[in-house]
Amino acid sequence: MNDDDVVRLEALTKRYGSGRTEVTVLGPVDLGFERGCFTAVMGPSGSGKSTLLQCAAGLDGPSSGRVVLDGTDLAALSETARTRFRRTATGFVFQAYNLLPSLTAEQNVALPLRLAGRRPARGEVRRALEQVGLGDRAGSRPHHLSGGQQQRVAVARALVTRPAVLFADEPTGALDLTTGRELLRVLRDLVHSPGERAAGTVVMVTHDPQVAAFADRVVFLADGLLAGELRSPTAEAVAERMTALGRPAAEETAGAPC
Amino acid sequence: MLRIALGTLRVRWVSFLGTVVALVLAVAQLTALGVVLMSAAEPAQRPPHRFARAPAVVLPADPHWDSAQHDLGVRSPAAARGLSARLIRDVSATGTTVVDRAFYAQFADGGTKKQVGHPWPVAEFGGYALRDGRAPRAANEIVVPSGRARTGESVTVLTAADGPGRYTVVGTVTPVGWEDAVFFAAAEAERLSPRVDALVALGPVERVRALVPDTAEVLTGAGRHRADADAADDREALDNTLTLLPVMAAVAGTTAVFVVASTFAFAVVQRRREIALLRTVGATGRQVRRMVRAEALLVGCLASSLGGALGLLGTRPLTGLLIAMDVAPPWFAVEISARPGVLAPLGAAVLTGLLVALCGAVAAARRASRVRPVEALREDTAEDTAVPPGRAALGLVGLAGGAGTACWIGFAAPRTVLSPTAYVVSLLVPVVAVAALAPLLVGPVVRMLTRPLRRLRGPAALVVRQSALTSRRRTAATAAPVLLTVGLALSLLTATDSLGAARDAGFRAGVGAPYAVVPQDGTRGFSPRVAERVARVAGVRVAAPVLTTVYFPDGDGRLEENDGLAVDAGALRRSTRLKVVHGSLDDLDGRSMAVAERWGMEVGDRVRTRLADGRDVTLRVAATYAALPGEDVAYLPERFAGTGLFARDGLVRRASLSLAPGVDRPAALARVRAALAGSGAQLTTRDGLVAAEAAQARRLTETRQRSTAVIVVLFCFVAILNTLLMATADRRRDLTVLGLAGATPRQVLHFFVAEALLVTAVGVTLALLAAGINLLGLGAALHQLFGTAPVVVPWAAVGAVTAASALLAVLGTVVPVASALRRRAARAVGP
Ligand SMILES: Nc1ncnc2c1ncn2[C@@H]1O[C@H](COP(=O)(O)OP(=O)(O)OP(=O)(O)O)[C@@H](O)[C@H]1O
Ligand SMILES: [Mg+2]
Repeated sequence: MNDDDVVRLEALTKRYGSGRTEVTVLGPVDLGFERGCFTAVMGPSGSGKSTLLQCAAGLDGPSSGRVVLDGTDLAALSETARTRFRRTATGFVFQAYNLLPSLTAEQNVALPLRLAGRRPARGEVRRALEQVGLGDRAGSRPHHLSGGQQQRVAVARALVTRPAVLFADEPTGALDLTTGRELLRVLRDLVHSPGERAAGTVVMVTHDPQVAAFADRVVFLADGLLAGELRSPTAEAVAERMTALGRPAAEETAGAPC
Repeated sequence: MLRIALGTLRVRWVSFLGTVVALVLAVAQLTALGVVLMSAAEPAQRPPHRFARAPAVVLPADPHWDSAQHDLGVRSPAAARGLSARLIRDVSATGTTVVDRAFYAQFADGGTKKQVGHPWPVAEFGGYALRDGRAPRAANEIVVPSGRARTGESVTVLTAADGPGRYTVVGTVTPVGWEDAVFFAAAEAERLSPRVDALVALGPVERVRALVPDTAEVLTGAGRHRADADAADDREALDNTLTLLPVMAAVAGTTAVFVVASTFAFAVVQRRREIALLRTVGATGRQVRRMVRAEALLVGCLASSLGGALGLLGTRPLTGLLIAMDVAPPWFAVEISARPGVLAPLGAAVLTGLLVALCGAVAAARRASRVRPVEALREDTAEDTAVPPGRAALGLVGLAGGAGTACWIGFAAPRTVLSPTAYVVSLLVPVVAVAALAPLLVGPVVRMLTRPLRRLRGPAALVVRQSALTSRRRTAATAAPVLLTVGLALSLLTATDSLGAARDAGFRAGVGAPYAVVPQDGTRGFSPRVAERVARVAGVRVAAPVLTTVYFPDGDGRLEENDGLAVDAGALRRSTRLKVVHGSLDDLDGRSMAVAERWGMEVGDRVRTRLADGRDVTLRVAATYAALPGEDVAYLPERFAGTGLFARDGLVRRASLSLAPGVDRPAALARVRAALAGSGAQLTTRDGLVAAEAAQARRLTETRQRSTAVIVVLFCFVAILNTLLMATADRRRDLTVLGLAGATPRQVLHFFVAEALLVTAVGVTLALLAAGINLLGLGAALHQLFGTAPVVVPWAAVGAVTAASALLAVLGTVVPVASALRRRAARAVGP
């Protein structure tokens, strides 16, 4: 962990239920995500990846521990203040159902700005859509877009506020290989874009080693706890590590096809 | 944000339409009821008729008497006595005067009870002029409107003083719309009706005014309308309307408010996913609430205004309905114009609709926005099963209140069930309370209802049960209108029928004679002379009470009026079975009376009593008896029968008749029938009497509660259809998932129909629960009032309402499911 971390998780835990039915699904976890780095979070199903991501993004409150996002301690904020902060400091992309079906792609992308009480500047929304290669579909409604296009609109929306971090929870989960790759390239370009000024930060959950290979760093999670990490990973190395993790517990992940 | 709100409306148009329909209909209903109610309360603006050509009219008046607070047809002491001879003499000193009397005078053949007798000299002030013939001079001469008889004809006229009498028509006048008069010579009119109802004074008005004491008033200009009979008629005719409409408005209003609030809340619940998504994208709770509020405001304004307009249009069918149900007189009409009587209820209804819609939506949005965004997104069908504490508390308080009220009515205040207004409103409480608690009760009820189905092999039972259980809020929202419909119908109709049955039983128990003499159809009563004639038939005993009014001092120096029946004491003992509490009817004589126990008099009390003809007498209380409200009268000595001519019309409403032992029954009855021929009265048996009386007494309460039930049930039917359409149209995803899991379209349809039926069953079960509370109270109250009185449930009507509810629920499900399936099939085949 170092000062360059844009997100810092300190002794983070998450428990569900209460009394005898209480289960700890995450933590304690100490982890940092560096600025200008594309990080993938991996682990078997149910290992707490989504929980970690949601806590890190401020979508969910931890049971204990701290989340410091871009220098702000989220615990110190009220629900409303946290929402306001989250709105500008983070972007979030889910596996599916990211868009309001009633709004066009352009309106969906402009939503965070409008929620912040800001009238989107000319071209601002267009630029975000062009960044994900959808400049020509601004007026389409979600049900006229393909799954991959919908996900790219969701990425554009997550980008439009120029957040410090973009979180994505299995963004390619519902996409075929080619479409998924396109999306991943978009994400990687955010971090290592040739011309753009500030390098972005992306944290992405996945359980596909091929997908994880796009990242600069892979963090492994098992049963809610950190289980090591890889820098500049290859798909093979990630798959190997995953098989090791999945061996004792989950048969299902071991046999899962790519 | 408004753009987002508008956008959502476009996508969820069924849900949106559902809220609009609910609100439009609710506001329309409130507006129509409100406007009609206000119009009924407004005094009819009619020009003076009878005294249109008289400069001034003197009427008896009582400054302490507000006729609105007394039963219809009851006169103040001053009005009963009429204008005194002294006053007439005094006023006559200022100029010419003409006396008016109004009394019962009806043709024996083809007459109506609207016919009224007047002295001829007053006719000219009503604008009457002879068409042919001449004015009546002799005692047996009359003038009538030309439609009634021809000049020269001889007719039988029924009067209170004489019974049937032969009169010759000596002239006719042009008929008028405002009365159906029979004009007598002045002296004959005085003999038939001693009371002077009004005096036309042709002298200078100022001098007349100066002379008149405060027991009389002088009317001029438009005020002369007050002297018209139809002013009283209007009030009488609208009395039903005025008592019924507030009850209707209360019941319909509560139902409408509940349905609108829950429809709007349900529409928001359906959008939890979107709200959650907005929250994850960065909308604060407040922004979400503001959006929902803006949207509800928009929809609310639109639908409320539409509803208001529809309501104004609806006043016409509503008055038509009221007239058809005999709740309003045929001439009743509502004029729509920009006046307070229309604008106030319209504004109130529109505003109520708007506020209720807003409250329902905002309360639901508050709940939706409080859920943490991830939690709401995690599950596919974002569902909250918890009842918000506010609603739970309100529901519990309501339920406790309802049960408490039922107990209180049942054990402490059983008479409440006899007053339709208070009672009908109290019936609402448990039903609405259970509806509010429905999300909480749905779980146990569904489990109970599906327990017997557990054994079934097929997947339907499992799928349906689990679907109803996981989406408790949806199940509750769709079951609520069924619950309201069946619960209210069951409570209202059972209360009506049980009360009617109990009253019949009570009335039957009170009738002691095997026969009765009753007025023929279209006649108000019959003359005591007719009763005397029957009494002269050998072997026949008759008790013929004359309805009158007595006034007792109420302690504040004022007089309190009560109905009185002047009847022979011996005949009373023989013919009626009063529940005597203290004293004995045997002690009744010419100077004593029997009174209702609830008036608080003691046996042996000497009561100073003002009679309707102005006399003061002292009467001893010989007996007190138990009477229901509305059935309490003073039984007076027969010698006061003549006061009936002052108080009312001097007629006998019903006489009981029995035969002496050993009399040849058929022969005696034949002689009675002969004596009654052409008298306007007829012989009937005890059963016939009870049936006729029951029909009469029940008509009013039944109309009241039935018409309320009709309006409420109609509205609820729409609500059932509406909510189920809303709920089902929102479940395209369930449809797809079932299809993916391998269900054929037919199976999918079956699942949904089964679920609709389960929802109906849940609603009906909850309705039984709520109505059970009401009926327990009712049963206890009836038991106290009438002894053994069973609760009569009109199963046929309730069953029909339930069946219709189930049908609508199925319809509201099948239509959207079938259309979605068809669309899916089309898509599968198409490109
Ligand atoms: N609301 C909840 N209540 C109780 N347990 C929960 C809740 N949400 C998640 N869990 C549990 O927490 C654990 C971690 O869940 P999480 O969604 O973070 O897993 P994941 O690693 O994202 O799995 P996947 O790869 O399948 O998406 C799981 O065992 C899950 O059952
Ligand atoms: Mg996950």
